[in-house]
Amino acid sequence: MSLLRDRLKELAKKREEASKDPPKEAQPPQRPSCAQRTERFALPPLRLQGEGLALLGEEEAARAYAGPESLAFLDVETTGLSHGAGTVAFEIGVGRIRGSCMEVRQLWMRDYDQEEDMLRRLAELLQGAAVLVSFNGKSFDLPMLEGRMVMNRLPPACLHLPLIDLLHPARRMYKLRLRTCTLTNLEERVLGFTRQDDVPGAQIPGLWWQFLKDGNEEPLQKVFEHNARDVYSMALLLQALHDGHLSPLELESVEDVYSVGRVLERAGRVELAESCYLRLDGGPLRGLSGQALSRLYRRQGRLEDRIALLQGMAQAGSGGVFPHVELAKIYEHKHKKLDLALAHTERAMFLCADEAQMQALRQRRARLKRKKTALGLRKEREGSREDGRMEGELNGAQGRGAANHQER
Amino acid sequence: MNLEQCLQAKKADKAFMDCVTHWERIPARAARYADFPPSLAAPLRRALEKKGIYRLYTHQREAVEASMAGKDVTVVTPTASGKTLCYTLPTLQAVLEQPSSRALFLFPTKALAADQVAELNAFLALMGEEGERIKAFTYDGDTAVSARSAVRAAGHIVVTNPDMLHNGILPNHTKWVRLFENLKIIVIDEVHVYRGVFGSNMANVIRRLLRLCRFYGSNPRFVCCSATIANPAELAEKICARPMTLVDDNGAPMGERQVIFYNPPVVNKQLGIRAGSVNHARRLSAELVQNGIYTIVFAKSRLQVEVLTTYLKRLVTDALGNSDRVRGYRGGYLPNLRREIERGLRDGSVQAVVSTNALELGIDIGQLEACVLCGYPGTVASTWQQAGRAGRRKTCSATFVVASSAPLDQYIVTHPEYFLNQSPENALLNPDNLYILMNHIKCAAFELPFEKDELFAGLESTPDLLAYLQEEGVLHLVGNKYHWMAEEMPSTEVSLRSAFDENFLIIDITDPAHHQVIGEMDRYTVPMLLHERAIYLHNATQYQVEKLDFGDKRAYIKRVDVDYYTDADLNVSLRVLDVLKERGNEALGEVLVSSIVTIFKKMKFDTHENLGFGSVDIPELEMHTTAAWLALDEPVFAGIEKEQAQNAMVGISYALHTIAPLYLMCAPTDIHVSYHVKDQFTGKPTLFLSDRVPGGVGLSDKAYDMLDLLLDKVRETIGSCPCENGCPSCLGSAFGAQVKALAQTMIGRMLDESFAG
Repeated sequence: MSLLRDRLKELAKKREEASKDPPKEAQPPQRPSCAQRTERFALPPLRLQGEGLALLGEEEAARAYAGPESLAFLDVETTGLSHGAGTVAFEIGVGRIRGSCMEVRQLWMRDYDQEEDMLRRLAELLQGAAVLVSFNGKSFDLPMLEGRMVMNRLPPACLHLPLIDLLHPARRMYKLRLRTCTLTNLEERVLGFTRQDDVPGAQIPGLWWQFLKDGNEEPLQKVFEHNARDVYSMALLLQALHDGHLSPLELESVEDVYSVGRVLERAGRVELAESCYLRLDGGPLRGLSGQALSRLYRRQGRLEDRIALLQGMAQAGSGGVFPHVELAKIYEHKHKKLDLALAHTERAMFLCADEAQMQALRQRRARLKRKKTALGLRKEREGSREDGRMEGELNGAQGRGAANHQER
Repeated sequence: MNLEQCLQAKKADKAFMDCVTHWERIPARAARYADFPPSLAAPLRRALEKKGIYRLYTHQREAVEASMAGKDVTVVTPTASGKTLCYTLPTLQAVLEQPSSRALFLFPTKALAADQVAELNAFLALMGEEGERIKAFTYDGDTAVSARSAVRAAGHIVVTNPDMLHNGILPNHTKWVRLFENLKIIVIDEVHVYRGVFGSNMANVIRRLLRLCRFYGSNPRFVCCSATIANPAELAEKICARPMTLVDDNGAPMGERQVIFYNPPVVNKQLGIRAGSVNHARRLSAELVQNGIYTIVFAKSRLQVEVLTTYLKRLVTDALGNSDRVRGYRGGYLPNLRREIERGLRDGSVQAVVSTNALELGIDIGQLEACVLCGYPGTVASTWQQAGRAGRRKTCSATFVVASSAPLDQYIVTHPEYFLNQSPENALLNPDNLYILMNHIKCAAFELPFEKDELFAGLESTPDLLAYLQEEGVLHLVGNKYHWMAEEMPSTEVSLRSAFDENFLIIDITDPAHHQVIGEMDRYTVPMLLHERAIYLHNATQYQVEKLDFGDKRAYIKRVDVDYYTDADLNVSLRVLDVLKERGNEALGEVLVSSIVTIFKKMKFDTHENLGFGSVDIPELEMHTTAAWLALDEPVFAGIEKEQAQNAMVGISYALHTIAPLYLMCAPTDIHVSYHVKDQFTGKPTLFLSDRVPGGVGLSDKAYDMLDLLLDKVRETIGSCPCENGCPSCLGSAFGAQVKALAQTMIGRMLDESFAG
C-alpha cells in the first residue's frame, strides 16, 4: 500500500503512451440491450379468492386481484446483499400465469451498461399486471429496483402496484413449526420437494463477476435456473398459504392450525378461529390453544364458557399456571369468592417458575388475605359452606399438578 | 463572597500573590445590535420576540443576511455569542418560503446533534402554526430503525454526524431522494474540529455529498461555525471547496474577564521542586466552591478529573450525604449521565464541574463564573476555548491558569506575554492526501458510477486513480463508466476518525444479583485505568477492578472504600519491521508501535505519596504503521557533550513535530516523532516520524520525500525565534544556554551528510 504513489506514476506513464497511439474511430453511441431468456413450468390452475388474499394481510392486493393472469411474480438476483447504491440487480425474473403454465421471463445484463435497457424492459414484462407477488420483496427486491430506477433516471411507476410479500404471511403461518422460513425450507417442508443441484445464494455475485471477466455464460445457467425456480415456488406457496387461511381445519400440522387461528382471530374471523383452537383440544398444543381460547372468550364476554374452559384446563393440568391465575382473577374480582381465589393463587405459586410472576402472585395472595380479614367474621362463617365445593374443584387439579411435578 | 469580592481578597493575600506571575484584565465589551433583516419572515420574528429578542447582534444579522442572499458563510463564534440563530434563521426562512426545502446539519458528535434538535423544536414551537409543519429530526446510530423511513420522507431538517453521513446516508442516497433533490442548506458546526486526518476525511465526505447533489440537481449553500482559530475561512473553504464569506466581528456583549497565571510555590529550593498543580488547583477551586461561585475545573486526564472531583465533593457533602452539587465529567460516562450533568449546569443545580477537554466542545452548559485550568492545555486555541466556559454577558469572570512543573507549563507561566500575544494555531488538512482520497473515491464509485473523464472534486489525478482501482479489480469499466464491482460497501471499511474505536464495557458487580453497566472506555485507555486491582474512580466513587476480560471487552468492578488511588505507567516503543525505501541514512518503512502498561503505583489521597507498586499483566497494544527515519552518524555529534547533544535532540524532535504538520498538512496529533539514542535496527541514534493512524495514511511517505526540507525548516525556525535559550515555540521543553546554537549546528551536519550520502 505504501508504494501506491509509485504504482500510480507507472499507470500515468502508460496512459500517456497509450494516448500517443492514433485515436481509434469513435463508434456511434448505441444503447446496449440486455439479454433475455424464458422458462415454462406446468402449474396446476391457481384457485384464489379475494377473501383468502385479504387474510394474507394484503387487503389492497386482494381488491386489485383480477384472476391469476393479473399476478406478476418477481424475484431479482443481485451483486450483494447490502442495500447501498453500489449494489446492482443483474437479473430480474418475472413469472406470469399463462393458461395452465407459468412463464418465467428473465432479463439479465451482460454488463453494467445494459442495466438501463433491462429496467425499461421490466416495465413491459409487468404490463397488464395488477398485483405483484414476491418473497421478502418489501424490504429487498422492490427498494433495490426502485433505487436502480432512480440511478438510471427512470420513472419507477411500473413498480407501484399492490404487493403480496409472501415472507410475512409465511412467517405467521409456519414459524411455530419451522422456526426458519427461508424459501428452500418452505419448499421442503410445506410444498414437499427438494431442489437438486441448486446454487447457494452466497455464490451468485461471484458467478456474475466471473462472467464479466471471462464471458462464459455456462456457469450462469445455474443462477437463472435458481431464480426461475424461486419464482415458480412463489406461485405454489401462494396457493398453499391461501388455502391454509381459508380452510385451516384441513391442515395436517397442529402448529399450523394454531398459527392460522391466531391470524384469523386478529382479522376478526372469530368463529373460524374458535374452531381452530377447539380442534387442538386434547392434543399436544392444548395448553397454548386453551390460553388463546380463554382470551377469545374474555373479549366476547363469554364468562361461563371461559370458566368451564379454565376449570377443564386446571383439572387436566394443561397450561401450567395460566388457568389458576385466570381463575384466581375471576373469583377475586367477578365472583368475590376469596377462598377459591386464594386456593388457585397458591396452586399457581406451587407451579410457578418465573420470578417476576411469582412476585405478582405473592402480592395477590397478600391482598386476598387482607381482603379476607377485612370482610370479617361474617364472611368467614359463610365460608364453611363454600369450602366444601372448593375441595371438589381443587382435588383433581392438585392430583394432576403433583403428577406433573414428578414428571419434571 | 461573590466572585468580585473573592478576587479582591485574593489580591490582598500575600502568599497567593507571591505565586501569581501575571494578572491580566480584559475589559468588558458592550453589545452591538442590528435590526432584524427586512426580509425576515413574520413567523420567525414572532418566535424571536416571544423569546425576548427584538434585535440581533451585528454578527448574527451579517451572517443571516449573507446566507439569505445565497452566499456560503463561515461564522466565527466564541462561546455564548448566539451562533445557533446564525444558521437556524436562514434555514427556517428557506423552508417557510418553499416547504419542500431540506437542510442538513452536521455536528461532530451525537450529543451535540441531540442538543440541537431539542433547541430547534423549542424554537419551532414558538413559531406557532407555521412551526408545527416543519420537522427536525436527528438521524444517527440512536435513531430507531422504525423511525428512519419517516425521517427520510418527512424531515425538513436532518441533524446528523459526519460518520453517519459517510456510512449511512451517502451510500443509500436512493432512499433519500427528497433530501438530495431539495437540499438548500448544509450547516457544519464546530468546523474547527475537522483538522488533520479527520478533516481530510470530512472534506472528502463533503465532496461526495456535493457530487450526489449535482446528480439530483440541487446546489446547497453552506453555513459553517468555528471557534476562534487562526484560519477559520481557509479551513471551511478547504472542507466545502467553496469561497466563504467570513463573519468574525462578534457583536455579543461580554463582562469583564480576568486571567490569572499561577505558579505553585517552590517546596524544595535545592532541587527546584514545585508543589503539585493538582493540590493548588484543588485549593483554589475549593475556595470558589465554598463561596458559592459557579466553577468549572479542567484537568488534563480522566484520573485527575476523578481525584479532583473526590476532593471537591467532600466540601459540599450535606448531612444526608448529598454531594451532587459537584460533578465530574469525562469520556466514559454514559450519555444519560452526561445529559443529566449538562442539564444541572444549565439550571444551576450543579455548581461546579471537573472535566477533561470533553466539555471544551460546544455542548450547552450555560455560562459559569470561574474557570480553573489544572495545567496548561497545550495549545492557545484550546486554552481560550476552555477559558471561554467562564464568562457571562454582564458580570465579571475569572480564569486561573495553574501551572504544573512540566517545562511547557513553566514557560507559559513565566512568560505570560507569550501566551497572550500568540495567535491561535492554524488548522490544517489535506483532502488530496492520496490514501484518504483513494478511500473516498471508492466510496464515491459505489454511490454513483464515475464517468470515464469525470474529475472527482476537479482533481486531475482522478483518471489515474480510477485506472488503478480497475487494475485492482474493484471497478469495472464499460460504456464510458466505471462501476463498483465488489459485494461489500466500501464505506464500512473506512473510518473517518483515527482513534481506536472498540470500546470496553465497565460493569459494576457490587450487587451480585444486579450487574450494572456504568460506563465504557476505549481500548487505548483501558490498560491504564482498568487493569486488574486498579482503583477505578467513577463520578468520585471508588471501585476496584476485579477482573478484566480482554476477549469479551468487559471490566468487572466492585465498590470499595480505600484512601489511595492508582496510577499506571504507559510505555510506548517503536520497532522497525521492514524497509520499503532508503536513501543514504534516510529510510521509509513499516514499524510496529507498541504500548504496554507493566506497573502501577498506589498513591495516597491528599498527600499523593507513593504507597507501593503492583504489576500489570495486559497484552501489549500493537499498531502497524509507516515511519520515515534518519539515522545519525558520529560526525553529527563531534565535539558536543553527550548530555547537551541529547537535550538538543529532544528540542529538534519537538520542533520537527510542530513544523512537519505545516508541510504535511495534517494535525500534530496525526503524527508521532521520537528519538532513539541507539536504535536496535539502525544501530545508531535515530530520529523517527511515524503515522499515528494504523496502517498509515501516507504522512510519513511524504515526510520521507521532503526530509531535508523539513530539517531545513526546523533549523530556520529555531534560528529565527527571538527567544534566547529556547522556548515552547521552537524547542519545546529543551531549554538551556547554547541549546539553540547546538541544535542548528547539528541539523547543519545532518543535512551535509545526507547531501554527501
